[in-house]
Amino acid sequence: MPQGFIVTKWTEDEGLILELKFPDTIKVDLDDQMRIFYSHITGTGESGNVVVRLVKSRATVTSYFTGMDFEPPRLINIMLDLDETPELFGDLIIQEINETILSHLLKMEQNRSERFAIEENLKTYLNTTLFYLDRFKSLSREQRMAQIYSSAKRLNVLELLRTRARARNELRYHLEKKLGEMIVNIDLILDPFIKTGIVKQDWIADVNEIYLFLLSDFELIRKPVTKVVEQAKNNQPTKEVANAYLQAIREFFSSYKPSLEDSYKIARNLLHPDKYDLITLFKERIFPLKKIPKGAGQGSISMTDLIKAMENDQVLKVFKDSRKIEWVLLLTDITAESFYPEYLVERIRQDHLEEKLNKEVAVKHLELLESAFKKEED
Amino acid sequence: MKKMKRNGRFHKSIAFVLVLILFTSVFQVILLNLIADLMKNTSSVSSIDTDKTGKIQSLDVTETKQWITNPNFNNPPEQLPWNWTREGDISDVEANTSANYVNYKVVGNQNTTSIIATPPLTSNWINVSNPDFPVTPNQGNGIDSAGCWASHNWDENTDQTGNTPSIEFKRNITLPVNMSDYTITSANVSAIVNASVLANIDTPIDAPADFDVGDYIRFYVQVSDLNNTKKYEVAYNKTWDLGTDAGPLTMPDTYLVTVPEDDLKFYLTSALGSDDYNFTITLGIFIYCEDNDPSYDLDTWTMIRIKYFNLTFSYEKNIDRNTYVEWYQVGNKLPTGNVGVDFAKLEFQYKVDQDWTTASPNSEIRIWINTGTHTETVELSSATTSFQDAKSGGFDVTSLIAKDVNITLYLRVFLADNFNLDRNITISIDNVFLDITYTIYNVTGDGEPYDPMPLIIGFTVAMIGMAVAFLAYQTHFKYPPLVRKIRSARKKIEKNKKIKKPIDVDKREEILRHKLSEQQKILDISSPIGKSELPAIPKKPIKTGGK
Repeated sequence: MPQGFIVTKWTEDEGLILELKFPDTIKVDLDDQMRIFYSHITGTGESGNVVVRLVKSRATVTSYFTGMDFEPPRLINIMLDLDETPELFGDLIIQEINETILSHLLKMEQNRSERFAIEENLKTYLNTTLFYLDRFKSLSREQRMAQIYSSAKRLNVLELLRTRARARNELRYHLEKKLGEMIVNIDLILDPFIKTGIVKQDWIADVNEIYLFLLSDFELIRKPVTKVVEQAKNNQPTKEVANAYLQAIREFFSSYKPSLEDSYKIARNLLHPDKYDLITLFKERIFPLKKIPKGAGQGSISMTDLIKAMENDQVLKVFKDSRKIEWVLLLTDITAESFYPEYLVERIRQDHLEEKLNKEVAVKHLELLESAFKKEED
Repeated sequence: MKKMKRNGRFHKSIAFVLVLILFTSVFQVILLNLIADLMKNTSSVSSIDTDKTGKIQSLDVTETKQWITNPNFNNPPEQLPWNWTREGDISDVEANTSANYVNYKVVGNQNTTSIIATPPLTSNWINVSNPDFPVTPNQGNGIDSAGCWASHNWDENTDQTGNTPSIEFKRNITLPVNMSDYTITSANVSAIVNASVLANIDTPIDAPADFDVGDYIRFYVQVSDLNNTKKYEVAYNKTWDLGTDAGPLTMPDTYLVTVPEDDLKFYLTSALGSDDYNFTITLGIFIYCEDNDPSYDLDTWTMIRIKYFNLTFSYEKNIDRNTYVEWYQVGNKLPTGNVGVDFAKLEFQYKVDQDWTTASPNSEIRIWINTGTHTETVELSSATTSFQDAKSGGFDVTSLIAKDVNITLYLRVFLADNFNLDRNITISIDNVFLDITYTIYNVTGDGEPYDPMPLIIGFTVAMIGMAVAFLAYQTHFKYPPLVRKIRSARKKIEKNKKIKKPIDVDKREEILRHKLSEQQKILDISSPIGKSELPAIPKKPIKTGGK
């Protein structure tokens, strides 16, 4: 389970000092904190992320540095257990946490009179975040797919495999070249691909390599919520709400076009445990705002705030009926939509013709695609 | 070769003819029966119109009649001209009869399920390996008279791979009711574990040279659906000082840390979302033996036990909004001809067997006559435990009485809220009277024989279409075209042939566009997605970090 958060800042007079820690019981070793700081400033001292293993603090830390140009330069450190890595959670999640912490710290600086209230608010957020991070250990298939979109490395792996089957070493080479960083453990990057069955690994004797074959493709998209639409067509929960809902979704989908930006938004919602629980719940039923069942971890964020955030992302929408009852309906069903990658059959033919693809690899991929198709049909 | 091909064609032709004969025979039988039926109906209708009534003469008669047969429900139930029906969640409502009145029953229920294992026994629980950590404890594991147990000895010199063994004990639970129709109102979980180890276990307090996280046991309890796709941890305990050289070497009976009740209720609801009756409980043991000694490491976990488990939860039936149950009677038509309805009045009495629940303030009795609803309703919250008039002086339902149709009265108990109900509530009605005053004016009758030809032609075309579709399926469409393409390509590549002609398959964008437009069909709008408007992977990596 993640241990907590430590925020430090660099000052000209006192050097590196502790600004915030959560929970209060977490131990801060300043030697270790200096190690993290040095890891950031070695080179240009620009903003960015590093992952450092701290034996003394018995933690793995994923650390974000605001850069030396930022006043004051800050380090936001998420302290994980030694056997955990940030890959478990994905870049988008880590990015969101860093942004939220930083925005609270900036608010505390700008509103000195409300400093304690904002700090209290931040601590509540951090408490909930710890709980969320722990839940990342048991994700659904759909969430694991969202994890792929929340990581630049995984997204690049997916793109490469959409073109053709690749050897593990070839993948590692491409990633290192494109992202400009060393890939130490490619298994961690491939984990959601294997666990979701999107990709299969197989040994190709002819070339003495383990190859990765894409057998199922997917996209993060929005679609109408079938059950809720049917309920609305039957004038549920009330005629006026049903009409307003049907009009809202027709308006939304008449101009909806999937985009990468929207996919990130979808991934963030799917990976947020409370939001995911709400989406699962609202796929089946319509609830009045005041009667939504309490979900896991939803201690710090009020249900109203959670709904509002999801409304901003056009996932949920609240409608008021004539009795002023507020009804919450799933506006769009955000989902990882799997489909059979039949386009690969033509790519394999073309690559084989142009001798970009070894015969054994091509035959193996076609064999695997055939059995994947039959499996899908069953 | 040519002969074989000719034979193949000949066999196909024979098969085609046989199938055609079969279809034609079936078609002829159905068609002849249909024509016979139509002729019978046509002649019957014609004779009634012309022979019995003919043109109706001028009649200016005003009458008032009580339209309901058996309004006091005095006849035995099997002779009642009353019927009942229900819509919505039909498990929520029923109807039945009493000696001199009829009833509507709103079906509530409350239940408590307890899964108590003191200790878990082999009759209910099975030990299985953990798919995430498939190596099992090497000194054994299982279930005995004291509960679930595991024992492990990690000897680095013997087997390096056994440093993360795990074992799980599972039990599938089947509930007596369909939980999609119930709400869990309370839940609690508890489990007791213990363990004994030798001092060769390395903990943070021992702080050996290559120490990272230390050796530990993690106990956990999960609830999940049967396929383990939705899996939630509801209790756990992770040891930290067990096995310290200075002690302790035993972990006494210890309760696991559990999630809050609201979370537990939510997890159970979610696990039961996949299968309305069944879910799985997993009691798990995970052992971590850290390789923290550069020369040699030995970790001995003498006995690890889960000796007690209890999961108890209560649930109440959901009553769904818009569900209704109604008693109805199909009455006679008004006399044929030119008839005008002057006035119609409905009276009835109602009661409940206990106070109506405050959880549903909007539920009511509604009045329908044929396809029209009366604007006034009777609120169930106003019902008493003895019969009372639904409205003093009765309801004016004149506008609902239609001509040329059987006058059908529906008295409907309509549930207008979503709510939970832990008991049955019975609503009863009695003394239902519908008085209709009408006047018959001058009218003429007319009728034409029914022409069955369009139906016969339509049916013929449909049968021929079916025969063609059947033959086409048997000879071509039975095999997926894509599989044929994949197999053909694979065989050619295996034979080192270069395939120059492109294979006709959908591009990625086309597949996705098709999927999106299919999904949006439910909205009756056209998808705006163009060919080049699907997301592409960005050239630059995602920027991670603060603003």
